[in-house]
Amino acid sequence: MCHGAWVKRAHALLAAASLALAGAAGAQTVKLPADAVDGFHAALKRKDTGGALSYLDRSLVVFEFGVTDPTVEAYALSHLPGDIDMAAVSDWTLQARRVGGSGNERWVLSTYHVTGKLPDGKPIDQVMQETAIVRRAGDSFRIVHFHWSSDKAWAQPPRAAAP
Amino acid sequence: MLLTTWVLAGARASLLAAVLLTTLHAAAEPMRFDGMQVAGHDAVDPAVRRFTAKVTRVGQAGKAGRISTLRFEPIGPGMVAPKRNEMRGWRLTFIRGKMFGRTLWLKSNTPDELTVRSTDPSMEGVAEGDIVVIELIDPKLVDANA
Repeated sequence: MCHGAWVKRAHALLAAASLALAGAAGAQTVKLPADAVDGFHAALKRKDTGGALSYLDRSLVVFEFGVTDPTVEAYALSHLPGDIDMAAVSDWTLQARRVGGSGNERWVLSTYHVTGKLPDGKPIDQVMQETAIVRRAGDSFRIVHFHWSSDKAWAQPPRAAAP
Repeated sequence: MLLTTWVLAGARASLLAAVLLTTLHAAAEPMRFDGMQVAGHDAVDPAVRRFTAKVTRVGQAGKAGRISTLRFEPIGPGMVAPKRNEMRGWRLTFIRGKMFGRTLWLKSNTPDELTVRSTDPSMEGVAEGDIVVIELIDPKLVDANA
């Protein structure tokens, strides 16, 4: 093999290796704040528990409809399975988004039109509002806070009566 | 003097409260958080079969230094011990502990012990009290020979 052909083949191999490495790194690195949110939702839709957790910061706190998941472990145990189940029967279409903040702390405000069908046949048709706060750790953004609410009262869980 | 005694008593009480709160928080079960209601929403059919468990003991390292077994007990509402090899081929994800977010796959299980595939990473660093969720992602994808 002549030197030129060898160099060409080496370049091709290096390019292929770089692409493969970039793909692997892409799963771990979130360069843009909104990508953390979109990646999280995509993981829910894939029923990918580990993937969803990879977008969450260990200091995550979730507010939803007036109730709280105070730790990422609490969210992972008691709430994430329900979100995966809900994602499986619904489609979340992004309606509007604003992104702000500066430095390592950013916010992502999104509204989604959520459609689908509940087990009892009742159609899901609601607007879901989502506030996400993301924090850069190293070269990647992770979600430190979610707050979800809906325009439909029936979509919200019953709250415990005040004592 | 009286003021100093009062200030010192207050400081001691604050310190004691902080220590107690820290201890309580560290010992708290994941489902109990200072009386706060845990978030959630409409119940829909489970998208996957799931089993949640708490690690009760970490297995011995093999000759190569690899840990591939864990003892566990069910945790959470409605969870009961699985049958032997009921969860073979299911996906395990750590949701508490040093391996938080890491995913492994089950080679076999008994009602209180699980073994992950030999191709998966060692479970070194896992500790008693860590929590896992084990899911049957797609029955068609389960490798009966796993």
